[in-house]
Amino acid sequence: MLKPAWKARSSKWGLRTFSVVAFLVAWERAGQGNELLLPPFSKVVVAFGDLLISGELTAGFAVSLQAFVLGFGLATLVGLLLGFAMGRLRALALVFNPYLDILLAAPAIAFIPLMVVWFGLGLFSRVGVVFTFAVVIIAVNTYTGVRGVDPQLVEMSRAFGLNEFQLFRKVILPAALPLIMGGMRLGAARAFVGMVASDIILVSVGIGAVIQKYNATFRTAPLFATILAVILLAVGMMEGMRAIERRAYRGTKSLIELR
Amino acid sequence: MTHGSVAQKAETVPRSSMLRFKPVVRVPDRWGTPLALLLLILAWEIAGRLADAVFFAPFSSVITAWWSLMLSGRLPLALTASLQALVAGFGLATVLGLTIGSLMGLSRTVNYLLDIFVNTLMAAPLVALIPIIAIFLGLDVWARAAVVFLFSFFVIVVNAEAGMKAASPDLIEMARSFGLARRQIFRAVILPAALPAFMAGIRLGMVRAVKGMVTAELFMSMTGLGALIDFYGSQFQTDQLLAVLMTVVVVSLALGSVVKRADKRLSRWQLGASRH
Repeated sequence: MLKPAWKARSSKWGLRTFSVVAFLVAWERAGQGNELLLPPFSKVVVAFGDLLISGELTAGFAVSLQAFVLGFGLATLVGLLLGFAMGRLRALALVFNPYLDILLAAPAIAFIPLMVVWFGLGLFSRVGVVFTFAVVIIAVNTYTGVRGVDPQLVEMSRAFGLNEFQLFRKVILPAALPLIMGGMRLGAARAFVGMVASDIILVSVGIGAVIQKYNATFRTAPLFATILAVILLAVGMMEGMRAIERRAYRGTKSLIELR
Repeated sequence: MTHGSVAQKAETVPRSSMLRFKPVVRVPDRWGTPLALLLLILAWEIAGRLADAVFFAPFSSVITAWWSLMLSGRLPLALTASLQALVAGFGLATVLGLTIGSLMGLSRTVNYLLDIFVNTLMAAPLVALIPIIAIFLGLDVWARAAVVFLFSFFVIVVNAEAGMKAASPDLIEMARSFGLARRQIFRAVILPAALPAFMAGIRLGMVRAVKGMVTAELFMSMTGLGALIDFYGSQFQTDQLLAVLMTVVVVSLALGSVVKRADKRLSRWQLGASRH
């Protein structure tokens, strides 16, 4: 028997609310008494408020996001160019494709010490880390998108006399855009991981420094609050980008997704 | 859509739509990878000889460094230390991930109870959670295994959930009208249809598990391959550093191909099963 739609929807949100509330209550209970190990949820919320008011959180993110913006911007530029070039030139695809496949699966975090060797400790190496994390998935998605364009469509546009630039603008870009945007979203997620990782391991700056500070002094409530803020910011960013994609492609079929 | 499944890659690069240049020599597609490998080694060697030894090392001296690291036993020792945490964490993630994901796929109630957490943590930068894991579990093998678990668990869950919904409802309906019991339907229809997604989840989970392994080593306890990377990086011994990095990449590729091979074998079994 089918339930009416409103009833199904309300039970769905009912269950979700229940599980979140149950989780928070369990956290609160578990935290009482051993605050050094697990601060209760209420204390974390208070600490979060304090961090916001004191501006520590925003100041930390402001520094961290510099590396994110520069690294992700650069990765987008290079990834798109490489992906497009590989999609249009067979020789480039043959040379680069095996390596992109390898680097897609390789742990980018292992390259952090190499960044230190190359760029020292500073903004350059942080940007390098963010770039390394993000660039491969953007290039692979762009390449897959460009290559997925129907060859007959390309053939026809050629027959109608479009030059390479017109072909790019009118045919390839629109057809490849869903995959490109998906690649940029996944690239942004990876770039964020790179940012957090480099701010903690590489140089203690920005939000990484805030985490390090409270970790070293065993002040777990602000530590948990900062980590929660990092996670919420990243998830919020992803959801935002996903919403933009969904709006852009409403009605089109589900996208192929690469990870 | 199978969540996170990798797009099918055509084996050959189509020619018709490419930019047309008069090729100097026609290169058959199957030469692509060996040729790319040769080009990389050549470029690596030349760049290494031109660059300052601190910045980069030629391929030949990286190989020499790798060989001496193998002979001295440092690399094998580090590798076993790394793999312990990987096996423990990934094994647990596979068993629990497939179970919980399947339950989510089969029961709507379980799905709505867990989906917010799964989807949030699937997208979250889990690196940020490492300090918390260190507080709970310390810095030993189990803490590293926990990081591996956390990295690989959610993608396995999400894929298992999608797999449980992969069987076509028509097929289930038909099985029911032929009088199959629920258990039989599960075994004969739902499970075979779920296998590809299960394997996709395990494959993606393995990739993430290796990332978690290295991340944990760099962040918490300085053991295993991560420790070697950190050590040679801080000493600016670039040939050794590159040798260890190469090992990390090769190990992650090798583990990936193990899963791929298991996947092939299983899908052969699945084809056999569906013929009955």
